[in-house]
Amino acid sequence: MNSLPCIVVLYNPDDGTCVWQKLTNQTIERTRGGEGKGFFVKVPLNQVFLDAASNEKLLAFTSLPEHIVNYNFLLSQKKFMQIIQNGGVVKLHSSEWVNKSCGRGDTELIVDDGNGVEKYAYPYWFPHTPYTMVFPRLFPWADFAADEDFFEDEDKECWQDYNCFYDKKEDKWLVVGDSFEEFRKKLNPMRSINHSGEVAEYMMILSLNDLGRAFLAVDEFVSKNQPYSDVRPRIGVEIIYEKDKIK
Amino acid sequence: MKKIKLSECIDSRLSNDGYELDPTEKYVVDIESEIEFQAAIMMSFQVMGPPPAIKNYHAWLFENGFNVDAPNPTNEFVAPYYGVKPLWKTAYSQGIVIKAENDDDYFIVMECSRENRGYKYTKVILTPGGCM
Repeated sequence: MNSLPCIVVLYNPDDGTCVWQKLTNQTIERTRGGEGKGFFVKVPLNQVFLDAASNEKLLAFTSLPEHIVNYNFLLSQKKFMQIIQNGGVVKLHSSEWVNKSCGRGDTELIVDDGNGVEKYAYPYWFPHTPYTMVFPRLFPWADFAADEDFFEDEDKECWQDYNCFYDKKEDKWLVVGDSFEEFRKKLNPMRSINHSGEVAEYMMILSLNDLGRAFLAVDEFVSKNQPYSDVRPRIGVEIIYEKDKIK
Repeated sequence: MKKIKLSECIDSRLSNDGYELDPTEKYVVDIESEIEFQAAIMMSFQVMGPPPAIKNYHAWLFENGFNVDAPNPTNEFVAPYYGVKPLWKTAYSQGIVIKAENDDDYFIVMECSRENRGYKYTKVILTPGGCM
């Protein structure tokens, strides 16, 4: 049985309609009451290709293997990984409504590939999950670092609050703790700006992690024509390989 | 364990980095007898203003995820530092973990360095009720 989902679609040229049916162990039947050598499939006339009801059924039928689903997911973000690998900049900008359990917010990637800047929206909400947990799942190939330019003023204010003391007698500011640079190194790379206690705004620069680098390496390999790609292991059989055929 | 009285000079010989308290010592105090002196220090904070060293405590709270406005350091967090190393150490202060006699709770003491005008070598119990 093919691991990919298969359907049969019948077209009526008289009225232009199409009807369809899944091809599964359940829908494919043997002829002659199960004793025959042939097979048939009953196609419901009310299962029209492609009305809303059929669309829903078809989407539920896409039982692709997990590794194909996940590979396709990474493939959809390959462009961003390549841009980073080639020296471009990919930023994650997101606003999270922190008091909403529905996970309301806005998320986009701001991509500068050296030729211009483009934005890619991810118009999704993420219920019951803090965005700091969402980001590594949404972009599992990336490491995250706060955009220091974006957070400059906020970080400076915070640094002054915790590491500077105003000496009234001397009428000057004293640095009583870390320098600004030392202070910044200790900050959470996945920090946000708090807007009135309702919205947390993130701006992070993405870089490739081990998964990202490995995916690009694998993708480069599988995208090329490779010798012996039709070779498979067999037990107890001596195989002489000749180009274009196996004996 | 070494019993000390924070209001008295513990050791006239200062360490190389200018502090009396040794973070590797397991200090124990009689909290009841320290209360009066600590209350006087707190009053002084309100009248004269706190020393610059207090910023080091606030920075430590912030960096370790505790509430700066309503400090809530926990026994579990500070326990590994008792008799091992300071919670923080800068040119203005060091934070030391001590224990009270006959009590399981830990306390955070801030020793001010000579850089704190009016509070040189003052030792302040920052968690008078003990850690959480």
